[in-house]
Amino acid sequence: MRRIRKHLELYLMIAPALVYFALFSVYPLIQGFLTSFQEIGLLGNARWVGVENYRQVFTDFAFGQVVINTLWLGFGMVSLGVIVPLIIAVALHEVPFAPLRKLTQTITYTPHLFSWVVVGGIWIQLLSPDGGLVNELVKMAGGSPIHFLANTAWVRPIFILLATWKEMGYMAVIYYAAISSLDPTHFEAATVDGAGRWDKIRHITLPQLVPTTMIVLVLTIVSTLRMFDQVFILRNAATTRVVDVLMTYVYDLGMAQFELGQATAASFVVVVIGLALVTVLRRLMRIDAPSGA
Amino acid sequence: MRARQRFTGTDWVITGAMLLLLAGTIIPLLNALALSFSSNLASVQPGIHLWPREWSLQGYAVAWRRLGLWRPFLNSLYVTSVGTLLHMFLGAMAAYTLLQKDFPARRLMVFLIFLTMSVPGEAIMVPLYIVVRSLGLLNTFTALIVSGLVSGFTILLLFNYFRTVPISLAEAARIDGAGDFAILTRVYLPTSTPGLAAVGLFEIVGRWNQFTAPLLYLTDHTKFTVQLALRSVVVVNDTISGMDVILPNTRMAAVVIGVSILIIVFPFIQKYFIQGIVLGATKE
Repeated sequence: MRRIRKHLELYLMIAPALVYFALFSVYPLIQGFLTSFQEIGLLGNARWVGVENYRQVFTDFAFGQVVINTLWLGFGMVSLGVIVPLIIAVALHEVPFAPLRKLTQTITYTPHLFSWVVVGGIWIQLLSPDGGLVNELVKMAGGSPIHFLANTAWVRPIFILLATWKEMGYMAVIYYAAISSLDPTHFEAATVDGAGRWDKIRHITLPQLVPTTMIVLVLTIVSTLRMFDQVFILRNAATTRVVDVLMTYVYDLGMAQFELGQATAASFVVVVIGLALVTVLRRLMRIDAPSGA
Repeated sequence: MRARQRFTGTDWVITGAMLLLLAGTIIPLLNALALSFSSNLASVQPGIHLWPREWSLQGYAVAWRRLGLWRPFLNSLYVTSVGTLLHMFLGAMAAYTLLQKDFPARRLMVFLIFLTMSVPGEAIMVPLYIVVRSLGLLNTFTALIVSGLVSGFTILLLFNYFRTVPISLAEAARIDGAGDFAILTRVYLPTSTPGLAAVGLFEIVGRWNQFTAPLLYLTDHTKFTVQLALRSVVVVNDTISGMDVILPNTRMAAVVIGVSILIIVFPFIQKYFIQGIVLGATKE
C-alpha cells in the first residue's frame, strides 16, 4: 500500500495512457477474437459457431479474389516502393547542385503529407477522360482518351504508380539519411585507389544500404496489408473486382453487410498473415545480413 | 563536401533525371493549383492547365460557401488542435513515468507499447467500431479525438528525448520539493522542445488527414471533418450525384482546402519532421 502512495503521482500520470490502451487496443483485440467465433444477429444476439466464420471466409470466392488483388498490388508497390526511392536517394547524393538537390527532396517529399482524398482528387482530375492533363497529352499524340480509373486493364498499374508517387520522396529521405551517415573515409580511400563513381556506388554505398533496405522492405510490406484509404477512395463499380484488397473486404463485410462475425474473422486472418510475414522476413534478414553490417 | 571538379556527362544525366523527377511531382500539384484559381469557364476548357488562363476565386467561393466546406474545415481545426494537445500531454506523462526505474507499472506500459505497435490498427477496425458504439461515442467529435489518442511511437520518441536530459536537473527540482508532475512540466518539457515539436507536427498532419475514423464513426453531415467531406466533392463516380455538376475549379479548390493546414505548417515540417522520421525509422 505504501508503494502505491509513494508513486501515486506516477500512477495518475500513466493512468490515461493505460486506460486508453486497455479500452481501445487490448479489449477490441480480445473481443474481436471472440466475435470471430460468433454469429451476431440483427438484434445483437450472439451465437457461438466455432470456426464457421473462418470457413466461410476461406471459401468465399470474393476473399480469394481480394487476396489475389492484394498480392498483385502489393508486389508492385513493394518492388517499386523499395527500389525507386533508393535510386532517387543515390542519384540525389550525386547531384552537384545543392539547391537542386534540396528542392527535389522537399518537393518529392510533399505528397507523403497529403491524405489519399487529396492525392486521389488531384490524380482523378489529371487522369480524367474529360479534359484531364494526361488524356489531353494522349489526344495530342493522336490517341483517344482513356478512362484510366475505370479501366480494369489500367487501374492496377495506376494504383501502383500513384502509391509510389505518394511515398517515394518520404522513403528517399530515409535512404538519403542512411547514405549521408556512411563513413567518408571509405570513399576517400576508394578514390585514391582510382575507383570511379559507379564503382563506389556499387561496392561501397549499396552494400552498406542493405540494412536500411531491409527496414524499408518490411515497412512497405506491412503497409500493403493495411492498405485501405487508397482503394476505398479510388475504387468504383467498374474496378472494384480487381482492386478490392483485404481491408476493404473487411470493411464491406463488417460495415456494409454487418456480418460482424465474418468480418472479425477476416480481420484476424489479416493479422495472422501480417505477423507471419514479419516473422519470416525478420528471420530471413538475420540469415542474409552479413555479420556486423 | 565534394571537391570542385569538372562536371562530367554523368552529372548532366543525373541532373536531367532529377529535373524530370521534379517535374513529375510538381506538374500534378501545379495543375491542381492552376485549376483551383481558374474561372468557371477557363477550368473546363481543353488543353494543359499549368497556370490559370483566367484568374478567379470562383472555385473557392463555391467550395467554401455553396458546398459548405467551411464547416468541415472548422470541425477539423477543432479535432486536430484538441486531439494533438491531448496526445502530446498524455504521451509526455507516460514517457516520464518510463524514466522512473523503480516504478512497477513501467513493465506493463512497455509491454502494451510493444503490443500496440505490432498489431495494425486496421485489423481491429470492426471491433473498435463496436467499442466506440457501446461507449455511446458514435457521431461525436470525442470519438475522433480519442482515436489515436495515445501512441507507442510518441511515447518512445519522447522517452528518448527525456533520457538525454541530465538527471541532476530532476534531482535538484525534487530537492526543492517538486512532485513528479511538476518535474515533468518544469524540467523535462522545456528542455525537450525539438522532440515535442516533432511529435506535435506529426500528430497535426496525421489528425488533419484522418479519414478512416471519421468514415466509420460519423454519420451526421454537419460533423464531417475535412477529408471525409472532401471525398464526395473530389471523387467523381460514374453516377453524378443529384445536384448540379461540380466544376474542376471547385474540385481543386476543395483539394487545396484539404491541404490548407499543411501549407501553413510546412516550413516547420522541413526542420523537425525529417529529423523525427530518421529517428523513428532507425528505431526499427
